[in-house]
Amino acid sequence: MTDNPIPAGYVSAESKLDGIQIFQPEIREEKKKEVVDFSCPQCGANTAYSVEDGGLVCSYCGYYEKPETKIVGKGAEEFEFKVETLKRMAQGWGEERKEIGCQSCGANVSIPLNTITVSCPFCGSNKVIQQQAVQSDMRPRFILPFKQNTTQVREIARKWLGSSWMTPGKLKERALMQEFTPIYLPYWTFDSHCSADWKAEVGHQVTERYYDGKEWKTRTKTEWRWESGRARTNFDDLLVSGTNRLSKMHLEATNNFNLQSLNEYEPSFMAGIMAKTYDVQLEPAWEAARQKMRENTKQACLSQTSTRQVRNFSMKMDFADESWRYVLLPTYLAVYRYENQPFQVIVNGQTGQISGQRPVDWRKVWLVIGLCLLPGSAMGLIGLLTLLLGGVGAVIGGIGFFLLVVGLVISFVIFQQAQKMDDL
Amino acid sequence: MDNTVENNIAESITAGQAPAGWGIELQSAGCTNCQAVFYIRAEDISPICPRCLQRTISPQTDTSTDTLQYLPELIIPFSAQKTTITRAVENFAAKIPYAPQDLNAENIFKRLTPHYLSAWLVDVDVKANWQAEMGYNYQVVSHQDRYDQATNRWLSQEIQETRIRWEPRLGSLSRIYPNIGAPALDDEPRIRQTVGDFDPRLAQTYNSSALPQRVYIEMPDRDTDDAWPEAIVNLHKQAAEECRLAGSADHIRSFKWDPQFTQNSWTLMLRPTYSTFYLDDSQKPHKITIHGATGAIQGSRIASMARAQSRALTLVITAAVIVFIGLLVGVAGLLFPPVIFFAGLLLFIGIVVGFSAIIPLVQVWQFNRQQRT
Repeated sequence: MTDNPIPAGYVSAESKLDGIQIFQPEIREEKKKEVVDFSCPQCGANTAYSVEDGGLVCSYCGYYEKPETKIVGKGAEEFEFKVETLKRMAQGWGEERKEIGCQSCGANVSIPLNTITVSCPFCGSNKVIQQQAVQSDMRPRFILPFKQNTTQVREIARKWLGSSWMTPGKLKERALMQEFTPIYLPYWTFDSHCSADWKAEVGHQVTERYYDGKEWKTRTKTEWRWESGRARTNFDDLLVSGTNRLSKMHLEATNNFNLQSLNEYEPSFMAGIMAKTYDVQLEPAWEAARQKMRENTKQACLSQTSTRQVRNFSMKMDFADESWRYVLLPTYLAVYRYENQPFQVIVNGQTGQISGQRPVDWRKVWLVIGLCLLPGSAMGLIGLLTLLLGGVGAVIGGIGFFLLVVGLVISFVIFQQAQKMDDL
Repeated sequence: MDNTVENNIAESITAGQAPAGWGIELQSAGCTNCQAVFYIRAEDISPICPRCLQRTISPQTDTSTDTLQYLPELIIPFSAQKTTITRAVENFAAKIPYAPQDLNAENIFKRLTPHYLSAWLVDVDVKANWQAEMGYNYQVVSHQDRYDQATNRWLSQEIQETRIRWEPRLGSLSRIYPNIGAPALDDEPRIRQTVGDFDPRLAQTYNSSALPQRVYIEMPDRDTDDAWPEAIVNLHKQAAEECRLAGSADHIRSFKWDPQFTQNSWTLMLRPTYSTFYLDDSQKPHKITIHGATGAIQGSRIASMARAQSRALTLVITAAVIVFIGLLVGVAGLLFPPVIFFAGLLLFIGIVVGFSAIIPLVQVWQFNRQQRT
């Protein structure tokens, strides 16, 4: 057999039978440079991504370059949970290091395999590392650019510091806000269609008449009836953090990202900005996401019962069309000092949502709690005295008792909130 | 064949000879009713055509017909066990309400006639460009979780599902396809429908010793030009399957090609069946076919309306007699009133028996109707 010419856009593929030629579409893998150096084409100085300008900027000559990328939004490609991928994922990044050559100064720099961005320690030039991951799916494919610049974030933080009466009065003025560091954090997004069949005994209050030997009376009792049903829940882009090096609570409090603005991966977005690869593997992240899905679906099932009184509840839940994505999302990290104590703050680089640690002024808190308890205690005391003297003390004492209970509830809530803020 | 219908006319037929390549002396005989042409040993010729069951077999002296010149290359032997066939025949004859007199396992069995059906085989050189979508299996992990309030625990079960990834492929093909099958009989669709397919993997190289006694070999009644379009369909299927194997794919779909064929040679494959029959009330024969390799049996099972009518008539007469006796007892009741009760009882029984006469007729009508559908 004479070999036919290969059609355009196709490459020859292995054939297991003589006399049959096979061509498959050419997979156009982008020939990515292992290391992308960002130097100004005009003056040769370093360029970096500027959040204010939305592109690469040279701080010396003012050169500006807009990143060539397109917004893919929530339509960004998702991946299935292939057995093959999961097996390879289990290998992780390993502890290997790689040596890269700096194109600006020629020095060799040793970096861990999971590094994405780096600045040359000798000349300070910004680089984005694009070497192949253990599996290609595991390199970030999508990125959400920063929308909030440092000035805006600083203002958000200052307002936030002064937004609670529980913090020290001078915190807003005296907090030594250190530099806000923009960083791309790794996140996993998960999709799934869930359906659950449930059954439970549901309690219904029924009134019945009975004869107690002298007269007819009524009483209320709980009648348990079996109920069953099916609930369906859909989860679209459920976010799970890809790192456990930062407070999970703060990350969850700031993860209100709008993924409609998701961009295809483009190294320019990361020039001069730190980026972190995941340290929470896909499987543990998926387990965490499933836990949230299970709880939400359980609530959906419970909402179908005819009353809130439920016992012997059981459910069987199927996951379908599960998929995942690995994305880099913009975040600012900062540490401020107050009375020589460091406090951590995290700000969403897209929406400006902020969460972090704040010192609690416990003297203020105890004072407010005392004020809450004072009216009830005082009236109770007055009521007791007037009761002893004979008179209207019972009424005053009753009002005092009521106010004391209200004061206790308010105090408890305030204490809980202060405790929570202090524990962050 | 049934001795009652068999008429030994072997000596009277002066049939033409089969080509020497058959390895055995066979003579041709043709049916004047259904136009089927058979090769058969001279001493085994019977007047009953195994295809249309008419007594219309006549000698065929002219074997120059094109389709009679082809030689067999492959043969599927009669491999169905005797016990399998016996069980199939017994099941066929069983559970028929008011079966015709002639429909019984013994009659069906003794009329069994080995009957080879011919099919075309063609060797083809093919050159083609092709394109298709090839499917590759891959595994994905899913989950099924259970929650029980009693234990307040979630139990998670991992489930693996197989999915198919479809990818476009194209290429060229230059292969020789030996023994591509094509129908040689006009009756092929009915044969497939009634007897089922024949597994080509059971085929052996033709050897005349594989031909059983009294075998009828039904020769093609379609010429090769007629059969060629269907050979192309089979070639298309086989080429698609080979392209799938060449591409190490698990599935293939949307296979298209622009083939250029060179037909090398046409031969025959012989496929085994047994023909037999039974006679209904009007002595009309009903054909039964048994697959020679699997023992699968096919034929129409007809219940006898005549027997049902006879049973119905018996019941009507019985009912009339009972009613008559009942009337007599009733007259006696005018003189001796206590027997009136027995008169009424007899009349009631007579009416019930009379009405039951319809049951055999309905049973047969319903059974025959079911068989037709």
